[in-house]
Amino acid sequence: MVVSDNELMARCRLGDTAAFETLLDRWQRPIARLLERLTASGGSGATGGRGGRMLTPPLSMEVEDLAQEVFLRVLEARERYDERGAFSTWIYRIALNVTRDAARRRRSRWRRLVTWRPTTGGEPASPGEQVSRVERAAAVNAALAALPRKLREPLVLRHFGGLTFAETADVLGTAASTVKSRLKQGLLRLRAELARRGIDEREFES
Amino acid sequence: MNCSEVQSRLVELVYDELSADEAGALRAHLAACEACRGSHRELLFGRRLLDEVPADERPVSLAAQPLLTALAQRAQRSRRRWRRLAAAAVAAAVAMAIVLVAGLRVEVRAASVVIAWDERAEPVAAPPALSPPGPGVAQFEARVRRLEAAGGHADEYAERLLEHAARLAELDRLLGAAVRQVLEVDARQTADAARLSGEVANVRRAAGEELARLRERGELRWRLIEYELAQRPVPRQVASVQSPTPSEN
Repeated sequence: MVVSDNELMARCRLGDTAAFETLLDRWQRPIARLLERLTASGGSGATGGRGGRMLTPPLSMEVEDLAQEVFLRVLEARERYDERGAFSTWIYRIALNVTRDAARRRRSRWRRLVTWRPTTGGEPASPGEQVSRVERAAAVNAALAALPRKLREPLVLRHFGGLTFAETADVLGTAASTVKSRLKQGLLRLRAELARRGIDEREFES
Repeated sequence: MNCSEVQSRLVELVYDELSADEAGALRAHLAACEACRGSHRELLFGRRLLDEVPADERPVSLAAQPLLTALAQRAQRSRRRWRRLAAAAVAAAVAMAIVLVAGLRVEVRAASVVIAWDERAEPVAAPPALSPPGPGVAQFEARVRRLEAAGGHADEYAERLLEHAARLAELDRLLGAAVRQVLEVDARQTADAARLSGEVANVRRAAGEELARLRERGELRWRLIEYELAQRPVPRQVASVQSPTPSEN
């Protein structure tokens, strides 16, 4: 029988290291995935577009550091954890705060000297050319990274965290209606970004 | 259902967050409305693209034990930070206490800080210098270290340190008084020495005059010989040893 996250947290609070290990095993990959999407900057990593390198880059040091920070905060806050809520929502909220803190640190360090903007990805598509799924995924990642944080966060939580509208709103600390309108704006902006990279609805028609 | 209602709920349809009835109503509208169908297609396109991004299967290598160690270190760091803050507060309190208890007057002026002692103190000599760290201070410091090692609370530190500060200030005042006394005695001895050296000079001058007079009279030589003889009487033994000498010749 699979032990629930809440049960593991309760044991963890009593100093059960094995329970924490289980939580870590269960959650470190989804958290890292989420962190990477939340922190990806348009200028780095997969630049998308055609002819770019399609090898998956290794998980950056930064993401590992952030993931470590998330689990440290989990440990630090274990006394305050409220078992009535869902563990997933709780840990995603921590992850979100960690990325926001990191962004604030980075911003204050650079004083916005450098603005990360995606280099307009690749050459425009020649008509009729089909883009491979992998290339398309890279382009989507880059487009997602180019979105403002406000629009990116709900999309990432929804798609890469698998949260519902209500859970997303809970994690973000906003109203569900705000989440809805931001998701909508985000999807439209994503579409526009991809159109600049030569990817549009025709991709799915054939 | 009109277009604006549909537009506001399209996202929910795209993300399957509608009940079957609601979804049915929306789809019915879409079937009839070209504009809304376009919007729906745009949103659905974005969703499909995002869904298509493959899950990242790269491993993450966090382990529990290093994390627990890092957590302990972090807790220690924050404790140390608090302790430093508390120590700084205590130091400030001690400084205040010394200023108050010892009756120092501190004035901050444009270019200088003036620290004045109690003006009622006797104006003997210079104000005593601050005592060098004596055994009292060393004990005090040792006490602080012990307290720190024991990991006591900041309040407790502050209270005990203030007590010590008061005692130290009292000691400092006593020491000042002692220093003043020593200076007084010293001054008295200096005066005595001056008087004595004056007398010595007088005696010497008189002796000099006497000598000059004697020299004038030609009596000095004889007097000196007499003096020598008086000082060094020929020992009897020497006389007896000397007696056989003439027979050797």
